[in-house]
Amino acid sequence: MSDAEGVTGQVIELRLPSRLGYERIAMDTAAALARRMGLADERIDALRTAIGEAVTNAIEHGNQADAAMKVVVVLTVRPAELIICVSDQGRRALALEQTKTQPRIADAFQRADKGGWGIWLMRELMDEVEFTLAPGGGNQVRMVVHLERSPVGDQ
Amino acid sequence: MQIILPSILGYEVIARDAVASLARRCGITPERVEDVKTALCEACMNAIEHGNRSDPQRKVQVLCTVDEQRLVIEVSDEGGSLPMLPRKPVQWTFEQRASLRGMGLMLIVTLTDEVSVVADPNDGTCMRLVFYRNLVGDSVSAS
Repeated sequence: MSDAEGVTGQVIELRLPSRLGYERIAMDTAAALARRMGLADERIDALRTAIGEAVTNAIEHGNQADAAMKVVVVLTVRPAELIICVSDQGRRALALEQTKTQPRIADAFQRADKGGWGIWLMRELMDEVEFTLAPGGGNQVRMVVHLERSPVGDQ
Repeated sequence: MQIILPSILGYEVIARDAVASLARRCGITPERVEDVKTALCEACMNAIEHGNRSDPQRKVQVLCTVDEQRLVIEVSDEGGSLPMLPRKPVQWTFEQRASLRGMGLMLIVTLTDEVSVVADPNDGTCMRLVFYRNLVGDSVSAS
C-alpha cells in the first residue's frame, strides 16, 4: 500500500459500540496496520496499550458505557507517521487540566480501582498526544507515531 | 461495529484482522475464523476492484452485527454491478477457466453459511456474509 499514499494520507475508520471488550478490536486493528507499516514490535505494543487506554476512556467516561453511543477510531496512514484519532460522543466532557496531571504511585494505593494512569500512559508511549473537542462535540484524542527507519534494520 | 476502507488493494487485510478479532470473541471456532477471514478478503477485494474500480476516493464499508445465532458481515461498495453468486454446493469447474472474480465468488459461497447480494440504496452493492456462531447446544454443524 506504500505507493498509493498521498500527502493527506489514507484513512481507515472504525466505529465501535461503547461496550467494554471492543477496545480489543481497536487494538488488534491498529496493530495489524502498524505491522504492515513496518513498525518495530515494541512500538506496536506501545501503540496497542495507548489505543486500548484511549478507547476504554471513550467507552467508560466519554460515552458512560451506553452501548448505543459510538466510539470512532480514525487511523491515518502517512509516509512518515501513523495518526490515531479516538473520539466519543461526550456524555461527559474531559476536563483539560485532567489531561496534564501526573499520577503518583502513593495515590494509586489509596484508590479502589486501578484507574488514573491512562492519559499519562498515552503521553509516555506516543510521540504526540493532543486532547481536543471532536467535531460533533465529544472528546477527542489525537495520537501520532513517527516511523523511524532504523539504519541497521530491526526486522 | 463498522469499518470504512479506501479502495486500495492491501487494506482488505486490515478489515480482515479487525473482523477476525471480533469473530474470535463471539464464539466462532479458530478453524471457522480462518473461513471468515478468507471470505471477507474476497468480498472486500471484489468491492475494491469491481464495485469501486480501485478509485481510492470511493469507500468500502464493512458492517458487522452479532446476534444470538449469527455473525453477519455486510460489505458495501459504491458501484452498481451486482455479481452473480454461484449456487451451493459450488461446482468447481476449473476446466472452464473461471475468471479470478468467479473463483472469489465460489470461495465466498463455499465458506459462508449464507450469502446474498443486494443493491444498496445509495447505488452501491452490498454483499451479506452470514456465519453461524458455535453455541453450546447448537445443532448446526460447524463444518
